[in-house]
Amino acid sequence: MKGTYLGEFEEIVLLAVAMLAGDAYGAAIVTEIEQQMSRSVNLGAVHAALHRLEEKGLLSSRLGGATQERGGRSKRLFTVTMAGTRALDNIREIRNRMWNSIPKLT
Amino acid sequence: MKSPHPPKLANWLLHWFCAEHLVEELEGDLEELFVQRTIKYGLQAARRRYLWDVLSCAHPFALKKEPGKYPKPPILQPAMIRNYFKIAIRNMWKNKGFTAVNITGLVAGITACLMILQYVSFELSFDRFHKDFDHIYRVTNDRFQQGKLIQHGTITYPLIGSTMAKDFQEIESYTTLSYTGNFKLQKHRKVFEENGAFADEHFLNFFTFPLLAGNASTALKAPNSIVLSETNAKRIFGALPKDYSTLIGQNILVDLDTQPYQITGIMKDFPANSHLQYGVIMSYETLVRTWGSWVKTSWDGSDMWHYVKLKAGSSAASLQQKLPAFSDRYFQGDKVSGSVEKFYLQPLSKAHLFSDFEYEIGNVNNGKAVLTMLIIAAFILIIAWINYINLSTARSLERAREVGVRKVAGATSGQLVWQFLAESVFLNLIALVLSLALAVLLQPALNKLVDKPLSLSILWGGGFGGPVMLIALSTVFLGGMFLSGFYPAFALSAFKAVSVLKGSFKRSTKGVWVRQSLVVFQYTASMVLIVGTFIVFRQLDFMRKENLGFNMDKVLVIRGPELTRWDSTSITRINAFKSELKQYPGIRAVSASGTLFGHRLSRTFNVKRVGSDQDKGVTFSRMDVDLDFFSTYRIKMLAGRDFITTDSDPDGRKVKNAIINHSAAKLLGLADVQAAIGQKFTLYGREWEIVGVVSDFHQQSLKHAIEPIIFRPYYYNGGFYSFKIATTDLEKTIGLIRQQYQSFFPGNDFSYFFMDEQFNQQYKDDQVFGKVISFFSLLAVLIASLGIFGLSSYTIAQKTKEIGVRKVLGASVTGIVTLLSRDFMKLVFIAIIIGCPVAWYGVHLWLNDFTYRISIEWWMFAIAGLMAISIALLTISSQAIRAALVNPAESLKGE
Repeated sequence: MKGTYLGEFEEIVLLAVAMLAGDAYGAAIVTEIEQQMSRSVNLGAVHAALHRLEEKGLLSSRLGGATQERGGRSKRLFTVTMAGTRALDNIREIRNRMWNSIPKLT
Repeated sequence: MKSPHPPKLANWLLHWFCAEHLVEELEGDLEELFVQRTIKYGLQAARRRYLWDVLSCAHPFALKKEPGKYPKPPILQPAMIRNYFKIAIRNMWKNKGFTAVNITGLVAGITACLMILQYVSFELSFDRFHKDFDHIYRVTNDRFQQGKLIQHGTITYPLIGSTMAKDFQEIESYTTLSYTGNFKLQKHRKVFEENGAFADEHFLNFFTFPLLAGNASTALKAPNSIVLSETNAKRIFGALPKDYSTLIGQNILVDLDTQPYQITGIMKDFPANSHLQYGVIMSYETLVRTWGSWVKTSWDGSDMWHYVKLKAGSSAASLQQKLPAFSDRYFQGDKVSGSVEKFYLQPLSKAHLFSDFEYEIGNVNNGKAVLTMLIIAAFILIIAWINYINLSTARSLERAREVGVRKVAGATSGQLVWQFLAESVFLNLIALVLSLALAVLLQPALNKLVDKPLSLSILWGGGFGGPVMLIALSTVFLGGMFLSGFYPAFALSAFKAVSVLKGSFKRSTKGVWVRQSLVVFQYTASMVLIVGTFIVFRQLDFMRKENLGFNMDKVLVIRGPELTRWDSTSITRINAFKSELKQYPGIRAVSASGTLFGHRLSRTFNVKRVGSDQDKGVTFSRMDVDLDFFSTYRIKMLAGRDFITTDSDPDGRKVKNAIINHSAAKLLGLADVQAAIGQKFTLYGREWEIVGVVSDFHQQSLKHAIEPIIFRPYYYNGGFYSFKIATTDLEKTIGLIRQQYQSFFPGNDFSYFFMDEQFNQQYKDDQVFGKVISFFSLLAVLIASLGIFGLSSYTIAQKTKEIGVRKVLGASVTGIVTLLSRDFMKLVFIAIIIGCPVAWYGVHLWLNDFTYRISIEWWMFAIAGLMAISIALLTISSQAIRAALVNPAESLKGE
């Protein structure tokens, strides 16, 4: 299943895009991940991951509105595509199945 | 308060590497995070994170270009390159004059540079072929009497080399040479002259002079051994390479030595870039027999050269520090040899170019002159490239439309840069090829001028630096080619298509200072070269015209009969020969002498005046002359009498009358020349009487000081005969002399020269230097004029309309010419101001070599400056006048 395999960091970025629902762009994603995981993330790494995810068709993007705090520069807004949602569901299903297969240890 | 801003460097970095379409969003993200982090973590941390983030963006995704809307062909397409060349050729063809000027400048510059570099490379390559070249040193020796330096020589005492090798463990090996000079080799009743030397058994292994036959370790061991060069083996024996070994053991006669010399080896000819140049080497042991055992034992007789080779890792500087103690140990101040001896180690690398010693063993050249030539070569090349830049930019106006149209048709600046760069490389390559051809063509003339076996192969790896040199040179040429191409290429490609095509095109003044400073540089260099030429020629002229203190006009000199043996009748025969020739009306005077002018005279140490309170001796140079010498050369007697017949005797020990020169009288403390007559001094353990004092004369070139000289009435079979000629029929006179010479001294070769020519040979290097510098300053001025020609035509073309308007308003032609010339003259003035001190320093250094020299005067600079100004003025005004004469109706109708 080449092309849909997700690395750990890609998965986190994909999840962050899904969480931010419609307002996902580079800086916001970095802040979100840093908050959620309390670890520092490089902008370059995030953009690289976004780029890859877009190439795989899990994300789509458009240039969006500019805000004052970014010096009037426009941002690229990312949304999760159907394929992306399916990939997330798929991962979750696999994880759940695996969690469920763990024998109960009392 | 100003809002905090992210680090500029990081931003610049981002713009530099990041694909254009991504910069905006990335920068936006970066700034947003920066603002957040400044609040959260503080400015420092935020800035650090910013930089870090930028660096993390250096990722393939960020570098990728956005696929364009239109297909974009690669910049260097074969079709386009063909087109570039086509356009280049058409352009060159269209502006034939300009192209010719441009290529001429480049060719002249590159050719000159190539030729000078050959010479410099050859000179710098001297002696580098020796194995262990950097470990070899020559022992040099300064001698002091009463604290005064009396000899600064490369010769020293016989045992210095061997004793040093014994005393200092840093020394791996040594070799000793002595008695170098011209030898007459005799075989089958034929005489062959050749330069040679006596050297000890280590010589052939110490230096890298390989043997083709014979054993290098033993060849110079036995007395009367001789090693011949390959050329001599061919010349004397007609031997082929395969026969060399059959020559070993054969005999040959040398000079007057009755004992034959046995050939023990055939060596390869010494390379041309060796400071030692000998065709025969004889064993040092031979000298023990011919000169006496002192050559192996003496601590006060000196005529030896010593070379030592240090062990790897030993420092010459630390060995040098031990030499004063060495001198004390063996010479005990001045107790042993009469002088305080100081010894130095001179690296072999300095023996050819940077050696200012007396009694040099070999081939010495002036290192300063060689380096000056290198600087001149660099100047010329830079001037040529500058010219190229100026001329190409000057032409840019004509090509502005082309650039405009190309840009409209979709060419990017990058493509245009490539186009113009290709053009300049093309032109440069043509120039380079022509230069190489020209250099080959001019090679024989150059070789004749400098008297050196030069060729381009020296630069291809045969000379200094080997193949590294070739790489370095190619880098310089290619680098210069591209650099000189870059400026015009960028200037041209920067034109804005819209303004060019609208016709309201005006060149910005940006970049004017670049061209102006280039012109200043060119003129500064020209100025320095003009002053240099001027001074060099005045000094050469001064030396030619300076009163030397003797008259050498029309003096023909022949070599004495060296192969005739000395006996009790010799003086009688010499006198008979002289008086026989004196009868001829064409010959006014004849004189025999042991030495002549122009050579370093031998010295005699420890001369003491009888009855003086001086306990230390003084040092004189000596000349052995006959009774007609002073009258032949018209040297003035200041006091006393000339030599008379009875002063001389076939038995040299009976000679006791001498003449001294004025300097020598002063040195003996006899300021009054009349009082000197009749005084006695001791020399060689016996007393001599001063019978006359002659005025001082320049016994050597004006680079040397006048020395105290003692003249002894000795006769030689060698030496020289000088004939004062009073006729115009030289041919006949020489014929007569030859005829008499051969009947009086059969078996000797007859050869002659003219004293003045021979004396002026001492200035040969300076004359070559003069010719070279004058040629190159002419070249530099020429190229610089081309440059200013190009630049002024450019400026004037820009001002066509201005000139038109001014004329309409009533400006005069003179007014306009002045206006146009003024700016350029300013540059020339600046160049003169910069050039004067530089030139002063340069010529000052050069003149320092001459003991007797012209003084540097302000008007020399004034003349050079005037020359520079008038050349510039001529160049500019020719164009300015033409521009000023144009009918304003012509220049203004285009608007």
